[in-house]
Amino acid sequence: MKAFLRLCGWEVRHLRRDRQAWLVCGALLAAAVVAIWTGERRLARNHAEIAALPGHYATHLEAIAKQFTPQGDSGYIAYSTFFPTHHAMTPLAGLAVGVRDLVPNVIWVRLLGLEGQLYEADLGNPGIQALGNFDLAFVLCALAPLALLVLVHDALTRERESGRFPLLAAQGGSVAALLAARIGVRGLAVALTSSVVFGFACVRLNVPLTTESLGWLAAAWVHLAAWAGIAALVAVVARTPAASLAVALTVWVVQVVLLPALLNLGLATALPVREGLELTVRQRQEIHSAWDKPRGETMDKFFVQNPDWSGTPPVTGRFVWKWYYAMHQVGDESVAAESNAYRENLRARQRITARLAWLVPSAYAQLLFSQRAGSDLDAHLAYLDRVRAFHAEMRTYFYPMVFAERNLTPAAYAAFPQFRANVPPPPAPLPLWPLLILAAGSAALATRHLRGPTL
Amino acid sequence: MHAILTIARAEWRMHVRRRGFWLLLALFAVLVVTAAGLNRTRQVRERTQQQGYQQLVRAQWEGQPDRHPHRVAHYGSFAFKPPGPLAAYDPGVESFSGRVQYLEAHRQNAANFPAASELSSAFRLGELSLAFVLQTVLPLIVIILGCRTFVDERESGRFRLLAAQGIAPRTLALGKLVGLAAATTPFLTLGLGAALAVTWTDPAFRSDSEAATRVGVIAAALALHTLAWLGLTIWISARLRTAATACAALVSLWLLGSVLVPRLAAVVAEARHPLPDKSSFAAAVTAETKKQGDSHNPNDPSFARFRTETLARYGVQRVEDLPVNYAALVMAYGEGLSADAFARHFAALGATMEAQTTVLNRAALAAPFLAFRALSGAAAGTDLRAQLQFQREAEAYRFFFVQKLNELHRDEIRMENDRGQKIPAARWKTFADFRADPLPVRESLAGHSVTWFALALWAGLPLAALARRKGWAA
Repeated sequence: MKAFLRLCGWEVRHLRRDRQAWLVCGALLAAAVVAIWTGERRLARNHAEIAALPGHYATHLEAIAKQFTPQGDSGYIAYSTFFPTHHAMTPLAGLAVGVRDLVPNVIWVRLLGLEGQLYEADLGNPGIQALGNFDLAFVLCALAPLALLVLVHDALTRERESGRFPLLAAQGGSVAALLAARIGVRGLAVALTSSVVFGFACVRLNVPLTTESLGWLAAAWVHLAAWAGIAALVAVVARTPAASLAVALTVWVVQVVLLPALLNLGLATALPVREGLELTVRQRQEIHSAWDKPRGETMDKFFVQNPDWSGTPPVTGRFVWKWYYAMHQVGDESVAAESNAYRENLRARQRITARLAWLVPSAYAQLLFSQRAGSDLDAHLAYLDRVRAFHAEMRTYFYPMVFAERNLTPAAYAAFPQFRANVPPPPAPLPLWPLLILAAGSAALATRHLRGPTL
Repeated sequence: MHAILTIARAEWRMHVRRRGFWLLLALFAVLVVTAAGLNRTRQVRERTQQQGYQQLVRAQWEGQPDRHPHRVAHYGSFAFKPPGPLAAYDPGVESFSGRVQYLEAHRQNAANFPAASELSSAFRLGELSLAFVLQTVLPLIVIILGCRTFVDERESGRFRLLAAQGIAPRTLALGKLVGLAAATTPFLTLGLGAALAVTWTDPAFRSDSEAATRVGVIAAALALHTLAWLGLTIWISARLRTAATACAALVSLWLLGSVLVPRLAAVVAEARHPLPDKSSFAAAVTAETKKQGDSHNPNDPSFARFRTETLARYGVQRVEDLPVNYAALVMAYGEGLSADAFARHFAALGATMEAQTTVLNRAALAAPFLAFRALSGAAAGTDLRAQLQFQREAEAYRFFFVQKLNELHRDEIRMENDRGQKIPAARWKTFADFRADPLPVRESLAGHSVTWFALALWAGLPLAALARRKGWAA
């Protein structure tokens, strides 16, 4: 143990004089600073968008008040009013954008059928989105492993080249110790750089000290540990520095570029999600066909799911608002199965990705980061569920007025329901242990490889 | 010339004798076949699905019973975005834009369900398409094959031997370039062959009148881009002392060019040309539309002038005396105004996005990958411009059928008991169906001179450096 510590001391001294190591860590630092800056901008944008909502809503209500002065039919007012809902980014989401740049942060809903209102794309430039984000998660998942590989790939090949390797090997066991010390010290340097960067980001973006933010840091360390194991494998299999560099870069390209892309494409191909389009088309047909049917038929369908209203007088005449809303709600109810299947399929995709990513540490770390930042697909689906709940609240609020055919004056608008962003606690976090197993497994493989005939 | 060919032949032989070469080729083949197979499956399914839904929606449209025309305008229609003609080769930005747009009176809805928002957050370093393989992986293959070729000559001392035989360094360099190009050819053929195979078997591609031009543009861009990496590889290999540094330098360049610069350029583009958020965009359009009044209300004061003019045009005193339905006239007038307001704002939005794209295209001067990507997406009909074109077409179709319904409303529905009347169902068949035509290649490629220039520059500079007579250290 003492000998190992002495070895580590040597490595630390060696590292301090290594210009390349300073350069690599400096580059990582610079990339991280850019990433934090972009995260800051994205957060500011998201918060500004949400902060502007009350203003937009007030202008909107003003216009409605103008249209319905001195008073108006509650059904028609509800038809005209859009209600804002929002999904604020947590500070950590500035560091791991996840899918948050693809999905809307704000959805305006009105009392009509909900299913047609939930799935609009945000106003983004797809050409920019396709390039991916320069966020801290990208720096930690893609660039930090590269930095580590560049620093340690020649841990042994350098010794081989200088001819010291047989000497080391003859001393029994010390090759493994040397490798461990070298990778440990250099890995620690990268991990510390990452931690410093994360600390800086926390200060800059006001990230509170919570289990999520600590979990983030832990994920960054465990991810690097997995890569340290992989780096050990790289270091033992090659014979010359040029070869170990080539192996290291190949491993990086396969692990960071090709496998995640393959994972996404494979999943999108193997698990197609068709229900979204299906429910969109079905819902419109269901709603609008009600115009050509006897009013009572739609009302009866509505009463099956909403028996509380079944005592209301029958609909006569061409148009009554309560029938109109019943028709929209029946439309929603008729595609409930597709809607559930749609969400269930998306969640299944998430689960399968997480499982397959056990062998692709960078992809897994990305999931860890975005989940803890509340920026993954699950977080968006949870937001859609909150919009659903709010829409139900709107129905509960407006139906008594609509069914009673009450008129509303603009003074009554102040009591309209408002979306409250009570974000529920995130689901059980993805475990860190798959990465630890990967780290231990590759370290064990590397050691075994060393014991074999390696001279 | 003869010497160049001899050296090239020697270089080629050296590559094909290596076991690593065949291993690499086998791995590349697996990658290409996987990417081709998965993309073809996905795109064909996507196209079939989109066309299927478009037909279903058409059948639903024609199957409508007798209805009031404004009822039909609210029933509306859908525009489904089919994949671009070469999407199986290069899906471009299609996964990131909406696939279906609901078209109805008075409202311009955004497109729904972008495919990328239906995937987990496993990160986006490009979709594994054949275009991605040719844009990103092929340069790496060139680097792996060639980074040590010149350094080896130096390290083994053969360089001096050749120099003593009167072989100029640039002859050696050009010979090696030709040899490396020959060694790259199997990879290139494999990738291009797979690309042709997946697109050729796609009926949408064969029915496209500009298919040959599209392939030609992509092939030209591919040739220039690959040439750029061949030249760079030989040049850097000739400049640096050890194989490891040459390899490291080239891979750093690759990393900068295909990962870092594009993402940084995207950051710069967004910072310099920020897009409005959706609520602000919608609020701006509404504010402008609201100024024009409520077209559902024929007595709206904002439409007073329109009424005076209309009455004057028909030479009558009262709305009731008009030979046509005045409510429909107002509706059509209002639809025109709101569509106009939207079109202006949407054009501004599109212009901002195009400005962002221009920043990316300029960044191609520092990263040839961006140039190849832009040209490939444009030729494949899967870039931003194609998406914007689809949205414009969808809006034009929406405006067309809504206004045609307003005409029916005007001419065939009396103003008295307006909402109680209907138009016979046979009329719905007379409406043209929505068609999403790909943008002509000429328009897709307009304004791409900077990208061509960037590619030509990257291909030309290393070649020029290699062809120089002087400046070679022994």
